Amino acid sequence: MAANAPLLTTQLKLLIVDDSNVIRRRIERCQQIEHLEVVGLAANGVEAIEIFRRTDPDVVTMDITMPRMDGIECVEQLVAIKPHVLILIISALADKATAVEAMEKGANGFLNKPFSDRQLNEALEELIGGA
Amino acid sequence: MTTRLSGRVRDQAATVGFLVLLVAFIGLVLVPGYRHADQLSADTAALKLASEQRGQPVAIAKSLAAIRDRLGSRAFVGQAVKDLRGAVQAFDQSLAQLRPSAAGTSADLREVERLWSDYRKALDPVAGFEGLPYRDSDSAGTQLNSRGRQLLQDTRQAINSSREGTDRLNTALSAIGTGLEQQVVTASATLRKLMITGVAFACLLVTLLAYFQWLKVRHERLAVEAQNQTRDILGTVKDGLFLLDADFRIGKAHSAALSALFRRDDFSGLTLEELLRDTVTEKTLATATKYVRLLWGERANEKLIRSINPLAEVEVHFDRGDGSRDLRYLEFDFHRVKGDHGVRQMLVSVNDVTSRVLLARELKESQAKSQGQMDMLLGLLQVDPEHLLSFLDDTSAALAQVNSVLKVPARGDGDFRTKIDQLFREMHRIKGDAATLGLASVEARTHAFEDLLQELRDRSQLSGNDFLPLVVSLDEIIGHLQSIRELASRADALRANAVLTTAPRAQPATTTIDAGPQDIAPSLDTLARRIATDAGKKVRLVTAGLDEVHGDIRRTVRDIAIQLVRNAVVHGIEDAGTRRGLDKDEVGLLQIQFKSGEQRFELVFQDDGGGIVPERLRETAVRRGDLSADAAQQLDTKASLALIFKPGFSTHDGNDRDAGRGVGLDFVLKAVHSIGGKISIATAPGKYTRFSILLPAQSGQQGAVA
Repeated sequence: MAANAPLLTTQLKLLIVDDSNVIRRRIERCQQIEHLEVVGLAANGVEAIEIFRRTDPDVVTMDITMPRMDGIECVEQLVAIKPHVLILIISALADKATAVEAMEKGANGFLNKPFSDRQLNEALEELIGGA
Repeated sequence: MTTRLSGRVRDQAATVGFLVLLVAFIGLVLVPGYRHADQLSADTAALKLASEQRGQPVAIAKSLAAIRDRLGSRAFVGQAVKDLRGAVQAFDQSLAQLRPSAAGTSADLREVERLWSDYRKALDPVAGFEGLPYRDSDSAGTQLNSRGRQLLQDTRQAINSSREGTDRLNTALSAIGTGLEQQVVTASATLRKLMITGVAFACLLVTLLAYFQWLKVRHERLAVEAQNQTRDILGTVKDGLFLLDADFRIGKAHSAALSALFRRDDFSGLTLEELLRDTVTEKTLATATKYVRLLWGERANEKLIRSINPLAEVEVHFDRGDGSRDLRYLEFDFHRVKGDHGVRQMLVSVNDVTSRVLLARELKESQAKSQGQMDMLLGLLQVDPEHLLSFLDDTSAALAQVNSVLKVPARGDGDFRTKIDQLFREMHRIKGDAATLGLASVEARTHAFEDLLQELRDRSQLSGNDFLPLVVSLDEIIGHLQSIRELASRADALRANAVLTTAPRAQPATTTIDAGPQDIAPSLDTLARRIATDAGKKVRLVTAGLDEVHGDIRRTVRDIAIQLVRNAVVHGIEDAGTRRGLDKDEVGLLQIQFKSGEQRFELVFQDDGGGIVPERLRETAVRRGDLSADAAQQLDTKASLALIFKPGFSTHDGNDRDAGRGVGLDFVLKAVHSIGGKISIATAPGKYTRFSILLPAQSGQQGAVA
């Protein structure tokens, strides 16, 4: 908790990972958290890790079902690179066991697809402020 | 929280104060008191010694005098010397005892020791005398021998010393006594003070002990009170509540409702897995265990993982005891209970949400049903109303026929097979009609009926009972057709009154087929506005006399007016921009006037749009292939205008729901002719178009009779 307190006062970097271009744009457009700045958009896990190493984001929104490397494996790798990264899984909740597995790999929260702008903003605020 | 904290700090301060007081009491009162008492006791003993010693110099002097006198009278001196020796030894012992006492350090004692040491030198030869001091002879009798003479001399010297020494020793011994007495007095006073202080300390300590006792009683009372309240809460709350420890074991306390939810009473020490085993699926149980483990970790955000709680609405099965199982839906909610060092416990609340889940399911089903009806309604709107009505009438008759065929008694297998053939024919015809009209729901039902028939046909033997499923299926089809008939009447009303888009809800009467005459004008107005909006135009409708339209011809008048309004808004009225350019009011004007006469009715419809250009009609007719270019050239204005009543004729490019199919004016002409009326057109390009329709007054009554 203490580690997150200073985060609130500084600019946070956000990486958006989703294989749907529409969803990526949607998240980019509707997230309106004051201290959150989008530093990258990735369409799969491999791309996400490449951009993650380059931009060192603090917050990541992550899809589960993606080509090349899925969200669960990607979460595991991102947490290995940066243990304190905050990860919000954004996925259609078909199977809770899969969602729980993603959390076990180190994600911090889950947002169900489809989501409203308000739900996204609230989830991101909760992620940043209440982790 | 703050109150609890300050209370704890106060208790700790009281404990520390108590300890400090206790140490102070021991250090300042008990130890000095003990030392002072010890000193007092030593001083008293020393005082006693000193006072006893004061008599000894006198006793020594007396012994010396006795020895001298006995030597003079030639008497036995042994006992006297022995007494002297005892007295000297007693004095030595007294001194030895005084030395470690309270008087040990006093100058008076040193004086006594010095005096005694000097005196002792004179006493020692006397006290140390051994043997006989006399010599017996016949001539002189008993005489002092040389040793006797020496003893006498020593004794005299000692007596001389004692005259001075005894007084001085007594004086010095008195001084020691006085000093000791003073010390005893001082020590007593100090001891008294210490005792008073001690009593004060003791009082203070007793007060503190009383305070601690009071605190303890108070804490116990509050604890009991809190315990009772907790018990009351747990006994009353409707949720099943319990705490899970790090081993996923249920704590000792749980709410009473839990027993009813899980139909058992033994929860304490039970693990979550043991609680749920056999009531939920293996997979759910495994996921639930992982989920709870996530909550024990710090990483997952409690709020943000609530949506993936596998027990948020879980289906559970309980054995009823008679072999059957009871299905319930339970809702588990997990809350972290945090302590100073992270998550300490997990508060779990459980609710029975069976009725909520079932209600939601019912709602969903009912929504699906409504959606189905809406789809059907929208489908019916696509079907021509007259065709639909005649289909419904024909089908009712056909179904009645099917019913009677089913009821005819049959005796042999041949009869049954004839029956099946008849039923097939009737049902197949209905199915064909339904398919033609696009009534998929009717088609599907009749098809299912045919499937049943086919199944019967394939059987080698038939009996009357085999036909029972057909009766059930027939009932279902009849019911469905009835609901279509109801929906059709609503669809017809919707279509006629254009309620589909913008009709105000305040006019429910417009949704019935037999709407009152006064309702025609508002529904036409609504229709005109809706079409205008769709076409990006602005119009206003002015009507006169429509409320006088006779009930018998109301439907015809309304149908005609609907088509004319459509036609005028789509084809006649220009868009606002064009109208402004032509110096016209940008809102187009539609006028409908109805006049009742004795022999006939007159319906006049006029718009102030672009009028009809005969040349364009001819061009369209040639393009459609209705006329050759030559034949078109020969048409006069009247004949050209008549082209617009041809079936399928349209100058509109699109094919939207309002125009473009070329049905509208064809329909108007047929409707007018069907009741023996006439129609004429007047138009001025760029200015207006007027349709004048004459309807015979008789026809409506005839129609009503027919």
